[in-house]
Amino acid sequence: MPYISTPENEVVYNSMEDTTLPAYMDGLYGYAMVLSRNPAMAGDLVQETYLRALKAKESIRPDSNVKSWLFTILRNIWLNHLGHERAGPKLAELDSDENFADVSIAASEDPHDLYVRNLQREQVRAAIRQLPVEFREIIILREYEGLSYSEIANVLQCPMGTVMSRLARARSRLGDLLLISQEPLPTENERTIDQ
Amino acid sequence: MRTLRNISSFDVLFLVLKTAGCLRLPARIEPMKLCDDLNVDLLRYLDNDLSEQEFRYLRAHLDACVYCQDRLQRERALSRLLYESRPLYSAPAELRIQVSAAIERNSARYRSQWVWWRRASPLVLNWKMLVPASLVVALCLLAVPNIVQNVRAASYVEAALTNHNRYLHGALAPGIRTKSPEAVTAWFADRLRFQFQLPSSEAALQANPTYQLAGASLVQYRGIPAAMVVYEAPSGTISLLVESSKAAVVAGGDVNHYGALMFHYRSEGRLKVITWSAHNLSYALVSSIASSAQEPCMVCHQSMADHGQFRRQP
Repeated sequence: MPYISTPENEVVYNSMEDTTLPAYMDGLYGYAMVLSRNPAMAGDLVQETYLRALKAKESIRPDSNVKSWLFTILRNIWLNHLGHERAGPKLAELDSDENFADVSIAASEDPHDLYVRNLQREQVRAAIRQLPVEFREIIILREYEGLSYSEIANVLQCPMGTVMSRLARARSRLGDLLLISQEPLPTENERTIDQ
Repeated sequence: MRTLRNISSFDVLFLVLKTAGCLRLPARIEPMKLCDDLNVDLLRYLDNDLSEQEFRYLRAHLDACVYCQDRLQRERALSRLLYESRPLYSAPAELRIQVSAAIERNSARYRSQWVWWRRASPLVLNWKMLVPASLVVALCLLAVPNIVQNVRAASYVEAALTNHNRYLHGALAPGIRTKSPEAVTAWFADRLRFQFQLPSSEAALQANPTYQLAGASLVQYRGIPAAMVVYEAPSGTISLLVESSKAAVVAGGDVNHYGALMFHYRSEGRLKVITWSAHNLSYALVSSIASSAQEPCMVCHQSMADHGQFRRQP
C-alpha cells in the first residue's frame, strides 16, 4: 500500500481500512447472514473477517481485488466454523429478522413507499432463507454485491461455468418462491431499443 | 479475432495431434440449443455479456419462442425485485462500532511503530554505517529481481503439480470431457482472460493415437483463471497448465533451447515438469513419462523430423 506525506511532513499509512469499512461492511454482514442465518454468528464472522484482513493486509498485492478477498476470508472462516460446529451445540437459526437492526431509514422517503419497500425486502429475505446454502450465497454475491462471475468463482473456488449455471438455478428457485408474475411483453419499439 | 500465432509452440510438444488420430476438422455447425439450455444465456443477455454471435442467436430464438420470451420477462421482473430490495441487510450499529474500534487500534499500533522508526533512524543515518549499508542494499537490489522471478517461477511449477495431482486423485473434476480440441477451445472461450486455442491437426487422421485428449478444467493461479488441458496415454496422464505471462513467470530448472523457445526442466519425485513461454502465454507440462529431462520431448517429437534434437540420454 502506498505511503502519503502530509504537509506536516509526517508519513501517514494510506491503509485500505479507511475506504473499506463503509463500502463493504453491509455487504459482508449480508453475506454472513445468508450463510449463517443467525445475526450473532454473522456479527462474529464479520469481526473475525476484519481482524484477519488487518493482520494480512501487508501481504495483499496493490492490484488485488480487496472486496472479493474479504468475502473469501469470511467464507473460509464460516467453513472452519462449520467444521467445529459439528462437534458442538448447534446455534439456533432465527426464523425472522426481528432481532437485529433493520436497514437505515431514509428520512425523505414516503412512509407508504417505505412500508412497501420493507415488506418487499422481508419477502425476499424469507425466500432466500429457504434456498440451499449454495444458492443463497451465489444470489447475494451476484445480485446484491455485484461480483463478476470470475470473482464469484474465486470466492467459491469453483469454475466460472459452475457459477453461471448455479446462479441460473438459484434464480429459478427464488423466482418460484417469490411467485414472480410476468410483466406484459414489450412492444415492438421496446424490443428495438432492447437490441 | 484469434490467430494461429499463439499455437506455434504447441507444434513442439503436441505430436499427440499428429499421432493421436483423434482429430478431424468437422464443419463448424452451431448446435441447436434447447430452451432449457438457454438459462445461462438469458442471464448473460440481461447483463449485456453475450458476444455478437451469441446475441444474434439468442435474439433469433427469442423472436420465435414465446416460452423463452416469458422466461426472459420473468428474469427481468426478478432482477428488478432484487434490486429494489437492496440493501438486503445492514450491519448493526454495535457491530460497526466494534469493527471501527478494532481498525483504529490496528492503525494506532502501526503509527506507533512508524514513530519508533523515525526516532531510531538518526542512528542508522550515521555516515560511517551508510556506505556499507548502501553497498548491501545495492547488492540486494541486483539479486532481488532474480530471486523474485525464481520464486514466482517455482510457484507456477507448484501450481501445475498441485493441479496435476488433484486431477489424478479425483479432487479436480474436469470442466469438460472431450476428445475434441475445438470443444476445449470453445469451452474456454469466455472463461479466460487471454486467448486460448488448441490447434487442430492432420494427426487426427492417424489410426492409432498414442495420446488422447481427455478434457480440460478451469483452475485458479494467484486468483486468476488458468487453463488446464489433460491428455491420457498408456503410460500415464499428461496435464498442461496455461496462463498469461503477466501472471505466470517461467524460469529456473535445467534449460534447453529449441529454436526461439527456451524450455525449463524439473523433476519433482516421479513427475517431470517442463515450462516455457511463448506469445505472452506461460505453459507448464506435467507428466510421469521418461527418466531424463529431455525425454518428455520425445513424447511429442518421436515421429517428427526434428527428433534428433531431443535424443535420449544414455
